[in-house]
Amino acid sequence: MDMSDKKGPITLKVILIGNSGVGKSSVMNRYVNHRFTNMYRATVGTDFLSKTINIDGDTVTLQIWDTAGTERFQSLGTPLYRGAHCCMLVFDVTSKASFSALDGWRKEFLIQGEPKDPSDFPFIVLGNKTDLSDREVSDKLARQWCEEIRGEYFEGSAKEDLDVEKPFLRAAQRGLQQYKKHTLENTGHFQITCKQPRETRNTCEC
Amino acid sequence: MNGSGSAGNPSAASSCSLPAHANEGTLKTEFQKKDLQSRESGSVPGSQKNQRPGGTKQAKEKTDRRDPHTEKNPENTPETNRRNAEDSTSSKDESKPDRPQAENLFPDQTKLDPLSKSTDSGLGADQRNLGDPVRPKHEQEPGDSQDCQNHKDLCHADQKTKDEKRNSFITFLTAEKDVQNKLHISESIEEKKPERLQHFQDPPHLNTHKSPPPSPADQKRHLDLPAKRSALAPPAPPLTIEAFCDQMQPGPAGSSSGEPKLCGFLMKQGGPLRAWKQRWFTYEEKKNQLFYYRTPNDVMPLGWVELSGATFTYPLKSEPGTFQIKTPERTFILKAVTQELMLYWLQQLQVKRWQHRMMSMCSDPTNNNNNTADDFLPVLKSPIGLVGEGAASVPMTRIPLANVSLKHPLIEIQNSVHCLRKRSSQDWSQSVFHVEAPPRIPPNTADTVSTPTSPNLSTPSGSPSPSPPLPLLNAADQAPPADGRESPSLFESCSRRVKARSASTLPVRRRDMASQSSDRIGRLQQEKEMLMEEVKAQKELVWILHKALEASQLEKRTCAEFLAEEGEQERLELLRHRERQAADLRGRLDEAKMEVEAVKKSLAEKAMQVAELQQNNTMLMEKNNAKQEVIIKLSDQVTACLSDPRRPNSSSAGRINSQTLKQLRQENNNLKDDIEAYKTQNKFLNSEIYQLTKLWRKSSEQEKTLMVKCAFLEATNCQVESRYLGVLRRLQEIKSLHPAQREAVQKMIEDALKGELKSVTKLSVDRDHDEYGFKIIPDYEVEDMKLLAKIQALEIRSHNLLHQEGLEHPLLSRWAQYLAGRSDDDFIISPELKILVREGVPREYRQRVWRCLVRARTLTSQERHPQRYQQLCEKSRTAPNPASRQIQLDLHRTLTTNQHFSSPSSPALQQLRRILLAFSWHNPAIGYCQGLNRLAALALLVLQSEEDAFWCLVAVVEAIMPQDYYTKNLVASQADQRVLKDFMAEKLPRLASHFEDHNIDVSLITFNWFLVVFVESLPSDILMPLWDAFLYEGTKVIFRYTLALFKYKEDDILKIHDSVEIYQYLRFFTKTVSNARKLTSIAFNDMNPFPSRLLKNRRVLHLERLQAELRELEEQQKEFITESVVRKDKELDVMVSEDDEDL
Repeated sequence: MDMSDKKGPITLKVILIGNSGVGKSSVMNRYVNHRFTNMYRATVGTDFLSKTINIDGDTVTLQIWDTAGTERFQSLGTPLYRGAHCCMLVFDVTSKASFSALDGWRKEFLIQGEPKDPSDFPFIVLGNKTDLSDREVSDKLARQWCEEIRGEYFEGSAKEDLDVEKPFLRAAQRGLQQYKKHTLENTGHFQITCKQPRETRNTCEC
Repeated sequence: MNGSGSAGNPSAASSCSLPAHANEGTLKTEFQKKDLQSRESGSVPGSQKNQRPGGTKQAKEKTDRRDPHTEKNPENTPETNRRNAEDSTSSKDESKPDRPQAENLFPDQTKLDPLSKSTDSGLGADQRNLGDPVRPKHEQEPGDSQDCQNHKDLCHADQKTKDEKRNSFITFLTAEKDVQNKLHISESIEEKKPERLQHFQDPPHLNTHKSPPPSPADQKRHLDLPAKRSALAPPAPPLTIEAFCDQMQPGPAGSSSGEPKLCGFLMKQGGPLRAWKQRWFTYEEKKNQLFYYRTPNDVMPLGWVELSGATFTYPLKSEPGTFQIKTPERTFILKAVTQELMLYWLQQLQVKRWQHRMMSMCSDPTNNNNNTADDFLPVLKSPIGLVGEGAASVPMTRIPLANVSLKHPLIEIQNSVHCLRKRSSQDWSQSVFHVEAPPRIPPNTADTVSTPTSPNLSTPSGSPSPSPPLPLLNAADQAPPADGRESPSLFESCSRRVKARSASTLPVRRRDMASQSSDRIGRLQQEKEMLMEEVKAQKELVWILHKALEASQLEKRTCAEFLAEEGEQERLELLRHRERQAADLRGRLDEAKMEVEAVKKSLAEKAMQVAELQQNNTMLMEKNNAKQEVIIKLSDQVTACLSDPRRPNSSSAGRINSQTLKQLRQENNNLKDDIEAYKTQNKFLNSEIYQLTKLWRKSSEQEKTLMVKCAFLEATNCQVESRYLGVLRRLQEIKSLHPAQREAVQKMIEDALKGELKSVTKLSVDRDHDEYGFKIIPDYEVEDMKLLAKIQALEIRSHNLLHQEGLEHPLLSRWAQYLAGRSDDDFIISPELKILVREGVPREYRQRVWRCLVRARTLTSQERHPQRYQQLCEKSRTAPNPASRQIQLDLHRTLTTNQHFSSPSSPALQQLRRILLAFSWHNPAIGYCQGLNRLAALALLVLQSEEDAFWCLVAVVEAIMPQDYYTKNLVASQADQRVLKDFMAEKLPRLASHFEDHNIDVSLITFNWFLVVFVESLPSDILMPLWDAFLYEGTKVIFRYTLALFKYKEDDILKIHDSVEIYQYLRFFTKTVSNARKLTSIAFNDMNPFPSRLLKNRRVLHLERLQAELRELEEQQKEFITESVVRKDKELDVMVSEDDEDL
């Protein structure tokens, strides 16, 4: 943990994926800015927000990446998915299609992100829009699938601010675990890539 | 009131002579009347014909009539003054004239009187001022004012005998008396201050020279006087005042500069009754205001007219002299005495207004002063006496009560206080007495003369007065005219008597003598006629007697001859001789008779001939008459035809014409007058318009400079504010601050953000949105961002303000020049257009330019399918589109910050839906791609037409962007990101390595920019010019701007060394770009060279690589699928066989 103290907060990269219109941006905004608005624009390409939180004594900066939900943009994922610590699969509980698409999104993530340990990579499944009445995806169905992919299921509403904190906290925890696991594995390499430029710059400036 | 006012007047001593004065007054006015009439008909021929009530010409004539009279006076001044002095000293010596002609005395006096009286009103005014302690100017020369009267009398007496001088001496004496009376008045004023004004305002007194307490009857007569005079020659004062002022030269103190101070009496219409009130108007140069007072002596004005914003005009239909001053607040209706005076006022006011403006504009008014003399109207000279300080002495020809206002007791009090103060300072009031002292001396000398016969004073109109005429009559009766030995003594006694009288009684005597002389003349003339007849009869008798005498003398001679013969023979001889003579005579007589008869015959013949000729003559005459009548008739008809061409049958109307001709002429004259009046009004109004235009131009220039100043100040204000906010932001970030300081900073930030709405929106003319509906200050989620947004908005505003004056207008005109006379299909690629477009299309032309650019790019497609859009819309209505779900989903997530798209019910959303659906049918390979919604929305905002926006989308996607930019894998878009990275490394190497160092993938940020061409990434004031260039030049513009954006903020980015922070910075930094001009300059200048071929080559290269990678990815996907299937199978196997892989 000495290392993290030196570096400042740990940055955890969390990727939000899911079909278009399920509310990825809304969820992110609700969590980070505690706001909801009907005026979100369709995310074209990528967007991100960051938030610094404390997880079990560690100060963590969550860098949450929001992505475009249409299929066409999936091919963009490669640079984004790489190096992610956690993936949040978001669907709309009122849309069965959005739930069904999650499997495809997960696979795409695994292919493009190329995580070190695909079977162990943390997936958080979030069912959004629970405030709406015309629910199509039941809690049971979702949990069932989550068990299949070894993900963790949460549901809530960004609009009504229902249970939005929990999935992100869990994502941070799982991401931190992932981070620790991989940084410990690649300590030497990490240090070289991160520290060298900084030192040279310091000498330049001084 | 008058009676009470002057009851205690010390001049009551002269009250005994009052009736005489009154008579004198009436007499004089009658003379004056005659004089005026004669002058009117004499000097101005035909003036009565042309006279028209209310006409301007009339007023003109009156002034003309006055002029020659006034001009003479100054010439006479020195001589008459000298004469006057001689007269006053030597009047005693000259009491014995050489050749006294008694009869002449009186007719001369009648000649003299009207002339002297014609100055009455003016003199009255002058002398009135002697009694006014507040007007020292006149009091300094009381002798002059006195002289003025005297020499007026005397100048006409120049060629007369010394008797007439005596007469002038008489008038001189009356003048002396007047002065004396005035002194009494002033003394009485001293004693009774409150009554001062009443005296001052009492015109009847002044007109008759005297101020005794008038009896009711006299008062009535006095009151009649001005009325009569005004009926004859209404504005009487100018004549005399002018004369007065001429003599008073050097005149008022204010005239040193040549231009008198602009002040004078004017009538002002006001109050609920719209009544005319006389006011004293003074122009105040410093304030450019026209103050008006109740009287010239008032300290406090009743009000003022602000001239700087005033316009002047005068209506024609109202009374002459009426004019209006219109200020934004109210309209002042004023009236000058004459039309000319009015014009003078108006011109002066114009000049003053202009001068003031020039004074306020620049310190040197003289340079521009020349401009004021614009040749619309000849510049009028100031009518001396009516304008300027001297005009204060113009009598107010109004009823006394008019100015005693209950409304203004304050002013009354102020005036008197002011007066008192002045008096206490011993300044002017003292001079009243000092100056007035000399006039006392002449009366004293007169008194010494009058002392011997002082008893006469008690009975001025009693027995002595009729006596003088009698001796005169006797003298005329008894002595022939040539013999005048008796007269000197008679006249001497008379004159002695005249001298003996006090000055006050003299006029009475004169009047008596006049009446007596007229009686005497009558009698003398009768007698003369009788004598003439007698003489005639005598002469006839003498002639008859002469004849008789002649005949008797002839008889006497023949008798004497006959008696002289001695013998009878001789006598017979003589008789025979006589008889022969008689026979001879008889024969001759017969002959003569014969001759007579012959002559008679020839005469008769001649008479016959004459009669014949006469007959002929009469016949010819008759013929001639008949012809003349015909001629007259015909000429009448001709004139009728000429005067009234509309009347076709003039033969019948001939008679009527001759009757109406006069009327027509009259009318014609009237119309000519009207035309004249309109002409002058037109000229004046032209000058007014000209001046107002000049003023307006000046104002607009001023306004422009002020606007520039204002913009500059606002810009600096914005800069200051943004810097302040920047400082606050920095302070907020400093962690080491004391909690209290932190709180304070937080509070300041909150205040600043609260103030945002008020201050910035107010500055930007109450607008939240720009012309395209984008929010001027974007809404950000986080407080910190809000601060940034405001800083950004302020910076943008300050930049815009600083640059709008410098560039926008020339650019606008350049565009206007370019677009003028150019058809929409005529947008040829040219370097000129390229430069123009890069500088940005003015908002006014953007729609048109875009439409032309789009049309140029989609021309073939549009021409091939003229009704393409309509057909596509029809198709999307009928057939289900696979893209419609996503389109519908994105519809409400498009440009949500824009006014036109924020509302779900906005019509723009439906337009957008139709466009996107049509496009998806138009290009099935792309169908719908997220991002197209933003492109179409922006196109719709600018082009304002669904179809144009559709074609714009087509142009962007199919013509401008490379192939496969929006297709399935967005390959071309991704390739462009790699191309960009190459360019970054080339153009911004420091930044590129910085990003590399911090593992920053710029494409995560820039991909968006490229795909939607910065829509919603840049503020609209940068976005729009960017799009202008993009539509013209193509994708290179996106590269240029992307690189420019990084370059613009390069230093800022290089300072950040945390990847998350860098990303955070990159996420919003496009919106902090405030200097659009600088950015454009970087994009199009600093990023040069930017060869198209390089871009193309790199694109090809990266596209190939990317496609290879994608192919690989696809294979991976396939692999993964099979792998996962295998794994699942394995997992199932493991599940079955008690897996121990977890360990």
